[in-house]
Amino acid sequence: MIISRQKDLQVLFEGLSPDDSFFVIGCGKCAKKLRVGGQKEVEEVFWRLVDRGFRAVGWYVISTACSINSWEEIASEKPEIDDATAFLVMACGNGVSVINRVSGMKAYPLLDTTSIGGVCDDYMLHEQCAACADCNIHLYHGICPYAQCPKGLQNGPCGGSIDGVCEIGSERSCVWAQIYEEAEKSENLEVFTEFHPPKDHSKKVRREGLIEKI
Amino acid sequence: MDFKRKIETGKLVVTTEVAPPRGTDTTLLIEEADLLSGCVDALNVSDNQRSIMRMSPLGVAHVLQEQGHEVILHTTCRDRNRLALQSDLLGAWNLGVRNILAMTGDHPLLGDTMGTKPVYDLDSTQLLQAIQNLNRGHDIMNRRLDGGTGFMAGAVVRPDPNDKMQLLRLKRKVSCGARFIQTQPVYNTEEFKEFIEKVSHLNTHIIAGILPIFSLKTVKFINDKLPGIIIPQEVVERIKNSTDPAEEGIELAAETIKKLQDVAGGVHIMPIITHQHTEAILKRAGMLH
Repeated sequence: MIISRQKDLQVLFEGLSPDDSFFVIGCGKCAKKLRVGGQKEVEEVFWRLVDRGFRAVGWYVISTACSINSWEEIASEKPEIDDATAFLVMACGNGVSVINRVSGMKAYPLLDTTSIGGVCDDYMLHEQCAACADCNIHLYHGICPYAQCPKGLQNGPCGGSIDGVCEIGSERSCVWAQIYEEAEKSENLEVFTEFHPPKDHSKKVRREGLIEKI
Repeated sequence: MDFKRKIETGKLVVTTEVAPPRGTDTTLLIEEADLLSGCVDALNVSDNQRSIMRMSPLGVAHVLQEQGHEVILHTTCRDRNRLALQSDLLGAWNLGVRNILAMTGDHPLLGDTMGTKPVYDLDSTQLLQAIQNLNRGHDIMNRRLDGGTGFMAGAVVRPDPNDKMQLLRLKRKVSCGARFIQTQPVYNTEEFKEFIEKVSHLNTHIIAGILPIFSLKTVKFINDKLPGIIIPQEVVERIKNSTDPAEEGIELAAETIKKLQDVAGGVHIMPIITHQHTEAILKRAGMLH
């Protein structure tokens, strides 16, 4: 799941042109689940646009904004989309990018994408994966320090980890304290005794900008 | 005898810390360093400490060495990737720097330059290993260099005998080449002794951190800005009740040093603003003759 949060709409609206006709697009997957891009939120933005005097021509929640086979299909569901000159997209950056690519229209993001995470028992789990293209999460008892430690440390905590709390804020627990807890439970402290070499960042960089056939 | 030789031969060392200027004016830096001439073995030069932007420690190291001081160059992983760290280390060696303190570095969110991208391409253990490579005449990819380094590398630790993770991390730092360890400030000497007992099997030289307290303002600074450092109430009371808090601070620091002399491999004095009392502390502790 891609974790996103809504931008400050007040600030965003100030940057919009009154000459445009806006169509609001949501996403039925992650954004809907996180309640930042489902029908309720999309409608709310639509009516706020209307209240602010913008020309708002319609709204639609695409089933998966980052996976669109045919733009024509979407356009046929909502013919008023053709009257729009700009889209306001309530999806992650992937969704905005794909919509922009398939529609060829100007698309403004209404969300800020923050991480790859998950939802568990109604709690949002941030930063579960850093998409590093070099996964070794099994070494860390299923908790990725590269994603969850603000410094991405792979060889144990920094000196700022005190009583299980991260140095950047008392509300954040140190991911290494969680890893330690799991390591103790499984009576295997190898992750703290083995040296982990620097990460190979070339694995990630090699895929940037590539478009591959599935 | 230089710092490296003292570490190699297990001698008691005295180090201290100077902060690079927040600008190009090095007058105060040189004045502070001059207060330490003949008192200490080496001066630590911090690297954008607490993520507050200051002059490059390499530039400061050069200035201090020109003045005849030996330095321990702080090298953090916060601002430079493995390319930059290695090339800076090669440059440091050529400028005459012989001692490196390898650290991960405080997160930029704690600092003064909002929006900074943190780097952390390496962590402190990986940096220590890279230094070992440079010392063997190889880069991080194990390719031979045209001339290697011979650094004395060290690291830092919070001397908490009950923090199992930090103790394991210390062990790994030593196995990655940390031949000296400078600790966070020590106030509770009994706890420090307990820490030393737990790490005495490690082949490294442990230098106890001393952060003298000359006023209640210092107490407040430590409580607000340096999490994890607990000042015993007795120390706070002595400063509070003293008619001459600076004198009391000298006495307190000297008492701590005396208690640590037999257990630590040296002391690292790091007052918050000035070194005007550092010589007095060392004299009072019997570290200067």
